[in-house]
Amino acid sequence: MNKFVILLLSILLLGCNSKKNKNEILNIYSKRHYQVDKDLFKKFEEENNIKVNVIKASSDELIERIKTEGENCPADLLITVDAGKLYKAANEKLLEKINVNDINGNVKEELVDKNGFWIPITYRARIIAYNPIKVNIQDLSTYEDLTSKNWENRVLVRSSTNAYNQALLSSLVAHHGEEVASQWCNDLVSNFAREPKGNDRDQVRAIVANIGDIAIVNSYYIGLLKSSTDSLDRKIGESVNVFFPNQAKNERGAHVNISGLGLLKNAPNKNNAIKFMKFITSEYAQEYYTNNSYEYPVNKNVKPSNIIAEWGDFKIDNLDLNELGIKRKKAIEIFENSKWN
Amino acid sequence: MKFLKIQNGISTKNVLTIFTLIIGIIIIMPILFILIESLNLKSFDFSSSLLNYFFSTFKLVFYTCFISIIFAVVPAWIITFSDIKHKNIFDLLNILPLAIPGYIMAFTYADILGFNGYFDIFLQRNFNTRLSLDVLSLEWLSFFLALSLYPYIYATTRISFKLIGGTYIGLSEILGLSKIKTFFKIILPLSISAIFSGTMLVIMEILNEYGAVNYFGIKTFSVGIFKYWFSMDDKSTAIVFSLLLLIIVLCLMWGLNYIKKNDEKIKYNIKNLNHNYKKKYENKIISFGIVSIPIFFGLIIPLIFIIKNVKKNFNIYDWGELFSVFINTFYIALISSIIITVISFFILSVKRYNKTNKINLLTIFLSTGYAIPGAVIGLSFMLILQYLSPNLNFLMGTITLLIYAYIFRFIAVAIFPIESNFKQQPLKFDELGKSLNLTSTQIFTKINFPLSKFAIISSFLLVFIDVFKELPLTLILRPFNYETLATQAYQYANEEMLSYSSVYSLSIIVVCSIIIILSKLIFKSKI
Repeated sequence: MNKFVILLLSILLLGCNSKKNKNEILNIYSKRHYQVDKDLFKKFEEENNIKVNVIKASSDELIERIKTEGENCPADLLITVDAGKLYKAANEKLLEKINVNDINGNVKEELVDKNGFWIPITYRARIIAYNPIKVNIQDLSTYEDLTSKNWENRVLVRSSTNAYNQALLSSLVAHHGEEVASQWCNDLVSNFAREPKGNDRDQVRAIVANIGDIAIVNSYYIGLLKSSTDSLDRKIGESVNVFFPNQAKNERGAHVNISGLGLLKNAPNKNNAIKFMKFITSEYAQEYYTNNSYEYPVNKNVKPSNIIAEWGDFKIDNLDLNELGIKRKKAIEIFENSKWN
Repeated sequence: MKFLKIQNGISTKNVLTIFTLIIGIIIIMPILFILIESLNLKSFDFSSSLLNYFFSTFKLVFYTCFISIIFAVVPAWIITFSDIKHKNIFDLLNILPLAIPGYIMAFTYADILGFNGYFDIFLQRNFNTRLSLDVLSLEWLSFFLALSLYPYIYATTRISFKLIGGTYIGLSEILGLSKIKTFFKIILPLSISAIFSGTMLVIMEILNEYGAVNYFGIKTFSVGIFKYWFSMDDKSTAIVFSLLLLIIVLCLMWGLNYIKKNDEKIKYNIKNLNHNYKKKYENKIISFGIVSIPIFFGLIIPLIFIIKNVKKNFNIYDWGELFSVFINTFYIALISSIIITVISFFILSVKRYNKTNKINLLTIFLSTGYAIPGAVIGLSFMLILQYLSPNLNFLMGTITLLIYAYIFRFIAVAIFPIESNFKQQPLKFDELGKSLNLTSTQIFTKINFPLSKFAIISSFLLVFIDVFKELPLTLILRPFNYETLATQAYQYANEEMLSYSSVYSLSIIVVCSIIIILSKLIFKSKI
């Protein structure tokens, strides 16, 4: 019995000490959970002989964890899929400024944080996927126009708890103010083809199932569908077209968001973190991203993958992406008061 | 000398009580934290949102419980009181859906019945028609969740039906009551506390569910807590939601205790004869059909699709990874369930000997941990560490903290069987021991412990299954590079790689099934 107790205690204590490994390491807290990231971490490990340790959870949970761990936080980098969350981390004084020159300066300037707290890894547009048989492309124009009578019972979108929708509405609050954004939200709800549910791919599936005609989704999901190993998914991807809203001359451009990373204030392996930032924005990593996850590359020298290049170039909404974090609370309040579940 | 002995006895008793209270308070810290935080609330807008969350949570709980009770009680009735063959196998098959976590059940069915799912393709190929079913709704989710939760009610109800025995039924037959009347007037009232005990676990599981409700777009309290806490930085509303959950669970537990107390007045000790209605041949087929329905939907269909997916991806799986994740999961489940069982047995033993209100209250609070959403527990732990001392934050990301959180979350699971076992051991046994001049320790080791052996084993196995399947707590509190079968299954499913995730789901199902079968065998041979 005693032996058993000792064994149990030593196992528990072992748990406490598991962090104190002195080898070259890099600790990452990441919201991203894609296979591409795993592959790239492995490549980075091989090239630099640095072991990459990862914890994956939602950005908010990770931020809370970093706050709890304070000075003892073992993480070097925080990776999110939303600039708003990086703004939140910076605002909570968890991040340290990044010298963009450290990472070769080949990242598109318009996507870099103006305050210097985070850098983008990839970016994506919130596009309109539409059924080419039932929708005339001439009828599509802006996010704002989706509230017109023309789209009654035709719009598909996922739940308002989703960060991508929250970011889109934050951008509308930033551009038009609270009142207009709130009106837009309510009007859009009355055009919904069904109660919001499922993920982005489910919205595209619902177009093909004739539940609705247009869906607000992230661009890379169409790429993932088109390149899927599942023949049915490929067919679904082929059945819809992509439209970038707000492209006219006097318009601001399509809403984009980044997947990005911030360097944590108490990062114990700062040098390794900088090496990683260089690597992840390098041409190799960026090509790997765009060809496998169908996100847009942030490295100026890398072209988007063939699948997404087919959709053509588009104008990006140049809103300071920190606004997606600043206006987030307002946006969620608007959602709460609307019928967008 | 005699005086000294009494003094010693009292002080040991007190020391034990204080020690138990300290352990208990450490375990229930997240609840205390919620209570303290709610006292600090300045203002809260009770208006619209709260009602929305309340109603959809209520609806989901109500529908799921309703379906679960039907799935559980009807087969339990048929299996107990008809001369259906292979009762043991049916018993087992009706418990096994418990091995499939709710979120896996929901994701799997959403995939089967969704657009371009297996069923849709089947219709297209064979009938040239398409499925116009939108399964991503509250009602369907209730059905899917009920399929994985009804075994809780089945297990408790079946035991109760068995205890009722033949005499009551025989009497009712003599009185000329029909089968249906006997069921509603005798069997059901006698089993109400058993049904309610099982339903209580089902309710707690639903309140704690996050993965599936979020995907189905349903506003339950768990979803609300997350939304307010994080997205809106509105901790006070999140605290109010958590508090409300706590109150609901406490009320339910009070109700359960009330029903159980009433129940104790009923004596089961009439000769425990088996009673079977004489069945006609065609009735047998109907009985067989009814008993098979929940098994078919809760076990066979999901299993077929999961195995099919595993076969599809067989060549691309990283088997080494699967093995290491499997070992992780097994190891943490083993250690946690040993600790949890030992602690709950200790606390309940102290409660048995020292009947103080403090410990009674403590066990009630200990049982509420099961209903608080796992991720909220995770966060409470973090905030407690923040409040207590920055020096404690080295605990973050350690297995120790994860196990501590499991203790809080699952101690209720261990408490239920041990407590009900203690209730079946009259205090007369202890008095008998005393009259034989046995010391307290001897009474414990010679009488109570041997009599509780099976309750302890069943507590251990139940906790093991729960830890093995646990998801939200593990996601947030785990150390670096630490994956369990549940985190892997969920992450792949969430990445929309459901078919790849199947091997992890299957591993969970296989291990949990083995344990369920094992516990059945142990109990069958020993009781």
